[in-house]
Amino acid sequence: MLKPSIIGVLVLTALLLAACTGAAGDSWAGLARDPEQSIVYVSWDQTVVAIDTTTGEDLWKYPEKDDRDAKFYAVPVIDNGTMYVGDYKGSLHSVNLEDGTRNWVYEPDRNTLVGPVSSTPSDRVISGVALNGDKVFFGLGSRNVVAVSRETAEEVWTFETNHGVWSTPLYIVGEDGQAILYVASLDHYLYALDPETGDQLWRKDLGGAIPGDMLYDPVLNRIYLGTFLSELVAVDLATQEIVAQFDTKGWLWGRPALEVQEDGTRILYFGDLEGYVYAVQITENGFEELWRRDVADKGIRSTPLLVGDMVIVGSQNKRVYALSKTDGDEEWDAKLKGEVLAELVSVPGNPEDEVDTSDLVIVSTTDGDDLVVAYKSVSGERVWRYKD
Amino acid sequence: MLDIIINPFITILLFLYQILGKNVVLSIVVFTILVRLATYPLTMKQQRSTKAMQELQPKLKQLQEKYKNDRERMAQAQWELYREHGVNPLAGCLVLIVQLPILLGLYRAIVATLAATPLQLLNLSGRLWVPELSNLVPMDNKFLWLNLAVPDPMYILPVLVVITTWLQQKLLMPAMSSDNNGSSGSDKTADQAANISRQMMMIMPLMFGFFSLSFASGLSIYFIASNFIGIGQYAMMGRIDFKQVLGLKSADDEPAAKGAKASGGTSPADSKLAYKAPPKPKRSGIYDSRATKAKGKSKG
Repeated sequence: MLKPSIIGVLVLTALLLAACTGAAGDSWAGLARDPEQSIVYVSWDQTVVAIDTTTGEDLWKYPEKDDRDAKFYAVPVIDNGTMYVGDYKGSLHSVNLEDGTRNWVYEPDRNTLVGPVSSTPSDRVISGVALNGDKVFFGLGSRNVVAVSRETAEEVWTFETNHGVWSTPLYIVGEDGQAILYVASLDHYLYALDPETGDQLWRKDLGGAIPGDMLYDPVLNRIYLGTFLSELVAVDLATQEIVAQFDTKGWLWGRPALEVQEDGTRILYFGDLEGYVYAVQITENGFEELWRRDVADKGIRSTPLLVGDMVIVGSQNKRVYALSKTDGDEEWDAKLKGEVLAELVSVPGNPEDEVDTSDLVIVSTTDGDDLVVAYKSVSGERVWRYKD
Repeated sequence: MLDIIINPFITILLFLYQILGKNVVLSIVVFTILVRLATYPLTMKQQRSTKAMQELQPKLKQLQEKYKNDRERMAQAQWELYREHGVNPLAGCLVLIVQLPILLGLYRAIVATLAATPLQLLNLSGRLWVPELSNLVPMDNKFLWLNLAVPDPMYILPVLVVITTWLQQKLLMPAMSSDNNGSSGSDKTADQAANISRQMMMIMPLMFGFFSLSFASGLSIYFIASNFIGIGQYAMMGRIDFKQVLGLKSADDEPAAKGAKASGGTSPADSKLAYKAPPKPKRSGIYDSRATKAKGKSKG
């Protein structure tokens, strides 16, 4: 018979270890908008929820209650009435947007014994997916990129990098008609792959881990991405060379947002993990800083949202900030219960409606009480919130 | 508050990773050795304190017998005994309290630099004392069949953790007599303590084995390295009786006082929780050191 004192010591040790290994949380929610409807989808913990942005009420939840053995944090990707979302078991789900029912699930071969014993999965889908006509491409937390059939969920090919792929792959068809899948990895490399076979076409060492998504600029045929070397980098896809670099104060995780002005001026907005926000003009000679602002005392991870004359960013310090595009001056800010690390989305209002349907900024936090919150983009006034 | 420990640990671990050919396992092992060396004075201090306390056990038992019906006098006599011998009964605990944040910092540093999840990677930001090490983040998590950021799917590391933890406990645990069936109060206490000690020797390895199944296998590497280093450290001090572990010597042959030496250390499974076996009394409440010494000599 165990003595209570021994049990106490063991429980205390277990709690200490659990606490010190950071077992509390894994990630932030994935938030995406259906561009054709006033609906946002949030993947959080065991469910993906469809929320009506006019009311803040949920429409459906995926999966059904008795089938919740996976965790979802990857950004859902919407295409042609279907949602694709990965989970923390390394599976990919295809879901019918009408009612949230499952089309299919791709489950990777798990040559592991961990499942039945451990709560820690052997692999994870952390990012969103890229799509072409017949395939879905996604990265795995360990090191692989996988292509599966959109119709049958059969695995077509896999490609192995030297570290985790936490960035959403980018599928681009060039002017010459050649399709290439670009993959950024934590192993510092940007890979160009043949989407049909998964063969590597070329790769470029960017010097630091690339955890975030890439931005494609079709006019200049470049990819912009941030690295943990605290650099925003522009890679020319024709020459496969780095053509511009911009040093930042902190590590970069979020994808930059591009604004093309009427006169053709191209400006990138992005934040770093030290809480700075930057506006950088793309010039023939590279990047030219327009302004930088020390906005938050903690990191800005997600892509800035460009709404009207404002740049809106979320921070790890549980705040959302609206800044002037012109000079970075703060227009409004709002306090939330959790860290704002997920991507922000905007939903345009309908000026012809009789009721107030202002443009909305929708954010998601790491706190279930403020899982999804909608603000009027002009004023920062809270419109609704959705609790987990 | 732990950041003051975690941040330099993360920086040191990354520095080791850089100079050791980006071999994450080697980095963790060397890092563990360095931490053990850094905490060596504390370990020694704890051992001395434990030993001193152990040496006072016979006198304490005499006091317990003498004042068994007067707790107040007993406490006063104990205090005077400690003062007379310059012993602080809390010294061992204090050392453990100092070591605990170091241990937690070490765990956190390993888990953080392997960064299995987005939040772990995000929380690495701003922690590096040398920003130039940013190009090493996150560390490569592949080693042989392992992804060091997740548990070992083949169960090999958890089994090794259990075996090495048990081995360390067994080597450091004081010998326990099997014939403590006397009816005196001190015999009962000794039996009870010995039972606790045996239970701990079973439970601790299993508990760390379970941790190993649940947490990053990089942490299992640390557990194993720490256990081996702990065993090596005590072996170099000449405080391990391999004969007893190998079954070449009966536990009853062990001079009682020798058990007192096996305590302290910074390993996760060190004998912090181990019972420090009191010398077996010759008669109820009276310790005959001459008899024990003679017995030890004749067997030796």
